[in-house]
Formats: sequence, C-alpha cells, structure tokens
Amino acid sequence: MSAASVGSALTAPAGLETVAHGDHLVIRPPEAVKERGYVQARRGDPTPDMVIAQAEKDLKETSAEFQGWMIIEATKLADARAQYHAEGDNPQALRELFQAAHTVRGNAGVFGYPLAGRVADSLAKLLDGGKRTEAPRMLIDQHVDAIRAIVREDARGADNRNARALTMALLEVSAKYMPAPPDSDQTTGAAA
Amino acid sequence: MINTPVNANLNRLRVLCADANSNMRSIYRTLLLGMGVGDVITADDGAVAYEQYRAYRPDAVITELTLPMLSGLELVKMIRTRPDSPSRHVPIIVCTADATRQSILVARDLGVTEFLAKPISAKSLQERLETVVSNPRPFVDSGAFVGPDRRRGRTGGEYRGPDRRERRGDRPSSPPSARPPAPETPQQEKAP
Repeated sequence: MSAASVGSALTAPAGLETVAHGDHLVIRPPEAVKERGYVQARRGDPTPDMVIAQAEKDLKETSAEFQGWMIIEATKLADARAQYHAEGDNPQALRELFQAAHTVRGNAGVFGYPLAGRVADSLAKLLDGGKRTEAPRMLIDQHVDAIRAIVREDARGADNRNARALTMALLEVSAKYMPAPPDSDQTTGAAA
Repeated sequence: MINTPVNANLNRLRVLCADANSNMRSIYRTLLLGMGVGDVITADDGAVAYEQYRAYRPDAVITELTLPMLSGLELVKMIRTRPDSPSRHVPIIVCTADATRQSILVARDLGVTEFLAKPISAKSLQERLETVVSNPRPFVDSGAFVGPDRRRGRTGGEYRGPDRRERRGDRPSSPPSARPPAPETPQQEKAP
C-alpha cells in the first residue's frame, strides 16, 4: 500500500521517508535539523553545561534592567485593574486584566521576582482565564497591590520576609475562590 | 539505536520565538544567543510569527499560547496544516505560564512537540531545544491529527509498528508487509 492510497487528503510530503499505516501516515522528520544542531563530540566543544552557563551569564548581565521591566508590567496590570473597575463586568476588560496577570506570572520568575509571579498566578486563576470571576473585587485589588509592592520594594528572590508573608496570606484567602476543574493541575514537561 | 555522544553546536540553528511581551522576547534572544544559537527571530503575534516562519524557515519554533490577534494554538495549527506551510514537521515548543493539564492536552492535540512551563530558565530551555533537535520524533498524519508520534514513551522515539489499538483491532491495522522499519520494503518510500 502506498502512502498516497491511505486517503485522498493524505499525501506523502516531498523528500521525506513516509510509511502508510492503516488510516495514517508515519513520516520520518528530516535529519537536517539534527545535523545542523549537533555534531560529534570533539575536544574543546562546549558541553551542554557550558552552554547553559554561558546563557545564564548573558542573562545575568541584563538583570539590572529587570526591575524596570517589572515596574512596567506592574503598571500595565494596575491600568488593567482600573479599566476593569471602570467598566464593571465588561468581558473585554476582564480579559485584559487576565492578560496582564498572565504576563506577570510568566515573566516575574525569569526577572527574579518569583513571589510576584506566584501572586500573579493566583490572580490569573481567580480570573479563570479571563472568562469570569467570583472573587471579591477587594481580593483582586489586593493581588494587584501586592505585586506592585513587591516590585516597588525590589523584593527579589523567595526569601524576603514581608513579601513572602503577603504572598502566603493572599494564596490562603484565594484558595476558596479558585475555580476547581479536575484537570487544572500545574504540570510541566513534554506535550505528548 | 546507538546513542552517539553529541555536543551542542547550535550556531547553524535558526529559532523563531513568538511572545507578546517585548521583554520576554529579549530574554529568549539573550538565552538562545548565549547558548550559541546562530539566529533568533522574534514575533509579537501569531500572524506575524507565521509570516516570519514562511519567510525564514526556522529550524524550531517557540511560542506562547496567549498571543494577541492570532493565538499560539492557531499558529501551531497553521504550521501543521496549511498547504503553504513550508515545513509542517518543524519542532514546536509551547512556552507558557498557563501550564494546566487542559492547555497541555489542547496543545498536544494540535501537534505541539514539547511543552515548557514559565518561568523558563537557561537549563529548561536548553533541554527542550536539545530534545527536539537531537531526537526528532516521527510524525503522524491522519488527516485529523498532524504532529509528533505520541508513542515515544513506548518506542523511545522510534516508530516500530502499530499501537495497541491496532493490534486489538479497535482501529484499522496495516498489513504486516506495510510495517517499518525494513528500508527495502516497497511500502517505505521516499516521496519524489
């Protein structure tokens, strides 16, 4: 059976090794990426650890800008909060507030503010992906204000006592308002 | 399959990164260039990213799920299914702070290669990049699904025949003569 006979919509991609199996094709990906990306080990080549160390060093050299970047993100978050309050339960305003919280939760850890990231993660979850929220507005405000305070005080890392206490208190109060679908576990790793 | 020792030598790789946040794009650029990646292209939206993808044909794509206008998921779908996509088999790493089981399943079903939870680090990014470059997985095209073969856990990345459902008869099975990996079988073909 040829690959082309599996179905009219399934055609073998040009230049790639393809095998037909019942109702699907299995295509061997091109080796070109592998050949470009990796070479046989030779003396003097960078090891993966050396590669990571170099990237971390380069990142550290830009870290002086991180507080400024976080101030910008926290300001955007506060603006989105103000818009949300001004427009009531406008879905667009809710989505924009979620988007601002989502950005902070993704960036804060990289920028050295993991506690601000945890607070932003809590806020993003309270906003349920920007779909709805049953959380009191005061609790939303407290999240936004906590993030701004952590950034303003430049409370980097996870050890700042005040920032940590603030974060833990917010997470504890927020727990009862969290939407709890059975598949909302935090997960890392491969997609498939 | 013999695992030969490899060292990172990424300077011939071109990577496209899509993230709405300019600071995050800067982080990607710093980390990837620090790792020795030869060329880093960035985009702030899915539609821009797709145009960049078509124009520059990167070796790997890293994208946020949440992008303005055209989302990361839509970008993945376009790369995997559009007729004008230059390579439907390019490795795609989804990188997001919305690392819930739900979002991972949706991304997987659209053909994402790897998933990376924010906040990212040099190590986590290097590991994902190494995985997609050094161990490219076979692709499955069933019409409804186009993406990496999910059976890597059982086969170590090598496609070795029909899955359990095929053997049970729950889905059409291939005739034994159509199964890989013998290169001399007529069913295994190089498309022109």
